[in-house]
Amino acid sequence: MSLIKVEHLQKAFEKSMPLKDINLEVHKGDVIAIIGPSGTGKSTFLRCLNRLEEPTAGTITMDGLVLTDSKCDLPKARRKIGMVFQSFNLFNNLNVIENVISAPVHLLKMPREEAIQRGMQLLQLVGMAERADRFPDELSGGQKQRVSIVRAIAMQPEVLLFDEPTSALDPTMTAEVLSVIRNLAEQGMTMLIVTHEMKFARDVANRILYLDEGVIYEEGTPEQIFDRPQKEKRAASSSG
Amino acid sequence: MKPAQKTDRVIIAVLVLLLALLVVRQVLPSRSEGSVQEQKTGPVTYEDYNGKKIGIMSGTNLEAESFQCFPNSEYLYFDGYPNLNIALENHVIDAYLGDEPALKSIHAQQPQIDYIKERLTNNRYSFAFRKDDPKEAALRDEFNEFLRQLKADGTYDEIDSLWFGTDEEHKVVDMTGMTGEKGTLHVITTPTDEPFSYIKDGNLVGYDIDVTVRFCRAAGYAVEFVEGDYSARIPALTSGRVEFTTTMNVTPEREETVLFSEPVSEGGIVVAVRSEDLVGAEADVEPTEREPFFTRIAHSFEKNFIRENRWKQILQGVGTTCLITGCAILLGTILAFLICLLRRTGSRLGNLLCDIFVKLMQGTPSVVLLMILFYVVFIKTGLSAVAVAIIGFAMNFGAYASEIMRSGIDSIDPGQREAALALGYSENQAFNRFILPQAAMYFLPVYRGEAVSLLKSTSVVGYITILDLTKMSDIIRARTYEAFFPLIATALIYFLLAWIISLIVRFVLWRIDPKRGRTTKEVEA
Repeated sequence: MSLIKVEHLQKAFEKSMPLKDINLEVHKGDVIAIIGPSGTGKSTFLRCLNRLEEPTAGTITMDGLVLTDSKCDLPKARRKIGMVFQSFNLFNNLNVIENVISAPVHLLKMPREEAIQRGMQLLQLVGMAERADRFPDELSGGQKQRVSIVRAIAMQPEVLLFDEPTSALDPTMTAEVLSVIRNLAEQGMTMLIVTHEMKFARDVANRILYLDEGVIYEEGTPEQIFDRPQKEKRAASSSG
Repeated sequence: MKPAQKTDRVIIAVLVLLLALLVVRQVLPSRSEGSVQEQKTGPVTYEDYNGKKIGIMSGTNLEAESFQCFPNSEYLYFDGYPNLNIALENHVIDAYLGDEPALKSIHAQQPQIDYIKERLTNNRYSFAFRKDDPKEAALRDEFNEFLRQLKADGTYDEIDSLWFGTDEEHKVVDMTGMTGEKGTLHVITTPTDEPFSYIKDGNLVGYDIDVTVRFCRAAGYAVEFVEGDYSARIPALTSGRVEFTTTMNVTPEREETVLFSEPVSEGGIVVAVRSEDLVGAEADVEPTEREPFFTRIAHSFEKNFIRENRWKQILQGVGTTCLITGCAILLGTILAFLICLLRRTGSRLGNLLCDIFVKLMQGTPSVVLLMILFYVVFIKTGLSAVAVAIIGFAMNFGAYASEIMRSGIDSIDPGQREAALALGYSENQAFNRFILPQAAMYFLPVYRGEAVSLLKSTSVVGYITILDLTKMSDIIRARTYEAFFPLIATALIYFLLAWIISLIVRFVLWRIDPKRGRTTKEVEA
């Protein structure tokens, strides 16, 4: 059974319609890389999944719960969907460990000591434990992104959404963040990653979505997409 | 705590400056220019002052009279005898018109001020009641009957000789024996008008006060005095805030708006001038020897603050100013918060209402707003003047503070909200836990400035009959005829209060600073 099911998802703005008709099934353990030309609605699609963007039409179902239903308890549903942003969005008024434990303590009512202990373990895994008392403005971009990944997984989500997680980083920092994501993939975390890092997408993903013209233009394994492009436009873009 | 040290240094600098000012002011001899006397021989008349600088007491009938007597003069407006006297003594003006009884008592205390004995007009001074109100007409008749009795049994002459005499010891008003069986009368008076109405030993006394209290006692009323400027008296009367006002000059113009009692005392308008300008028998000032510098300061200090426990009046004024400022800041902040919440709901109507309110408050001078609230809006509710002042300033402060908060909130990256929502926080939780604390770090310093400016703007509450710090120093000046100490002390107290507000906001800032308690060393380690 699929973890997330997207049917006929549509998102229209006043002057454009970035998403026309998106259909997708995400299975547990899937690592899905979403690629495509700039401005084709990759990020919009991702943000529709936890309704940071309100879809204009279509349904999104997760674990049998219809997220697009107006009666859906959205804050509660979002606890199961972690999100990592391009610009990190760490809470500037909290230090690293407080950023990590705030949601588990406030929303999951986890005891503070337990949350700190778990948070420190997770920070250890991404090499940020010794900076637990720093504030976001005292960290590099790569460090911030590693903390923001920890903040997302501290809620023990069923799926993680990455919205161009390395676009704001220089190459060395990109590498440190990608290795964290790679580790998560190896542990079987279900993830959807919007990225421009083709090599990384090919290495880490088991499925690649090529988004263009408001639809999933092409879908397949990395080999299918990168080595044997099926459609003409794809061929043109990957060679150019 | 580097900024704290800096502020402390600034405060020391200000104190040193004030001290320097004090020394300069006391050491420099006062200016002495050519007087009227040098240009002519023979007695001085009011005509000699045509073309000179004339002071006018605003809100009185003396304005029209001044225009008539001195058509070629330049006019300056003042709000009472104390300021007129200071201006006259220091050659800011050369003469002003005043009521004879008041000037008689000023001259007794302050020999350097005198007046030309010839009256310009003969006036009657009467209590005034509201017109076109049968209850008031009855009250006026009752009052007239009482006056006739006083005159008949000789009490009237006793009162007259007491308040215009020199027996300071017996110049007290017996406030006992008022039963109040027929209710309480509210009477407005201007307590800077010796010998009619002034503050002595912290109590309201004077000719008018004496007559009022005797009337209330005899007729079975209790009395509540309301202290206000001359210009506040008729509005307070016509709007129904008070039942009557203490004596004022009877003029045809005023007779159209108010109902006068029979005349209580008589006198006239005279021209107040510097004694040195008078010649012949009229000049009866003896040249005083200048006391040594420190003796003079000590004497002046004693007179303005110690004598008659005047410092208690100052403290009372400080209390009122703090009460109004503190409550207005508190309520205003709550109001600002509510406005921000209403705006955040995204409701169009709510936003429009907020916009209208904020624009209205920003475009109205606070003193006008206060008078509208006091004399129009809350007139029927019986709300006290202090309560009205708190409401008015809270509205004003709320409007400004809401704009300050909004700009602070707008400056927070929308990504903070998105991150919180994505984790599962609700909109309100996201706002309270992440957006507001960050915004506060931005807006609190601006907010502090606004709070200090609120403190200073409360100095206009004298317009609605409140005796705040500023008004109290006016009242002291009306008794001591000195400007320096009361004004400098007032400024100093405002300065210290502003500093306290700054300290409080700085403390709040420190409390909410997420990085508090960490030294720079720790961060670099």
